[in-house]
Amino acid sequence: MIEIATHTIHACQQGNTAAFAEIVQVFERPLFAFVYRLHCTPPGRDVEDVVQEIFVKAYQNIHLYKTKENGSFATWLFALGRNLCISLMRRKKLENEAFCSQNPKYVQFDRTDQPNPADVLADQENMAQIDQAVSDLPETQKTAFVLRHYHDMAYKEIATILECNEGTVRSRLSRARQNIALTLNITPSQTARRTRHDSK
Amino acid sequence: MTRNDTCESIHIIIDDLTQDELVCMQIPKHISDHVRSCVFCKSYLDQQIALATQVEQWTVPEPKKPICAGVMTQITQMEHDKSVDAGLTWAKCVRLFKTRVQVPAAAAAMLLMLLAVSVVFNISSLRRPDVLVQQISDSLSNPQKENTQMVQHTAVKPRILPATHELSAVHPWLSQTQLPAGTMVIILGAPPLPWTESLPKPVHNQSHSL
Repeated sequence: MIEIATHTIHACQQGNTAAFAEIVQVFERPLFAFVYRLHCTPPGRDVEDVVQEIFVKAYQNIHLYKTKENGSFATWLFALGRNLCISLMRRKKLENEAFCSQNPKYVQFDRTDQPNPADVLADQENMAQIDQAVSDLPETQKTAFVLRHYHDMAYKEIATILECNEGTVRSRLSRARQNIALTLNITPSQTARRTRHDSK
Repeated sequence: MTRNDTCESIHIIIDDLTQDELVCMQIPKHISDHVRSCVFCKSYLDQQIALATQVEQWTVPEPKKPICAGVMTQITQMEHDKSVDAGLTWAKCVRLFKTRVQVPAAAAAMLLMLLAVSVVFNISSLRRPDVLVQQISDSLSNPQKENTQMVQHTAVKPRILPATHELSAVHPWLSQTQLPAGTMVIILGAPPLPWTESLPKPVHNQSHSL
């Protein structure tokens, strides 16, 4: 996981905006990917806006960050991002429910169903499937899965972000993998065939 | 072969493998022998590798807007607003200070006004004896009139006093003029000094009852 020098964090805590710009540059891509994969963006707002909001919140609350209590800075920042995403997900759910109840002829569209030039790639279908499989997961499983598989976080760090113990993280990850494997129809026999095919 | 405790521990080790380790199939050597020989563990590992491989394909597009620039603009705006707020706070402090300065100034003005009012009243009350003296003098110049004057005091008991030197002692302003022997001064209210019975009796019995 990415680490930030202590003196940079201290400078930020003293109101040095240039030091904070360094932090933003380091974390903008990982946080963008995290927010994108959590599917928490409400309609009418971009992922970039949410990421910006996370950084602004981080700037406002950086004086509360303590290395000993909060662990690494990345963990603290992702926890902050996760909390904001949860509130956005709740809002999104409420807005979607309100919209669908008012307009019964409309179906709830997912982001991947909308035409997007970036999505016109070779594995678009596969990506959409994974996207759907991950978005169908409960929030805790989804966050644990995304942090583990896309951000290479340790169980301890994920436990800090999810505010639970490592055992809970393990079980949530295990259930998330099972659910995704079921959605993507990855069975052991199929896996064996695919592995053999790949080796050829 | 059946599933046993070793398989459970191997599954835990497989679960602990990172995404990169699974995709690149970097399996720890100490479990590889068991995995090769165990069908359950082999299938489980294959499943995890397949999942990791498929999950790896889920890429994230590039941000459409520059995030860093947007964040720094927002922060700069925030800092500016904060400084403006601080300026407003300073202005508030100055205004408050001025107000607080105004409070004693207003209090001082009120005190001065009260003082002025009290001075005016004092002067008017000081003018009373002069008026009385003038009236007494008039009565002296016109002996046809009755030589009886009334002085209103704030006290309760009216008293009839002869205009003698004792009375002058009681009311010093009476000493400003010499009253004739027959003049009676009626004072309504208590004199400034306590009444004593040692006052001499009037020489003439010219008195007017009220």
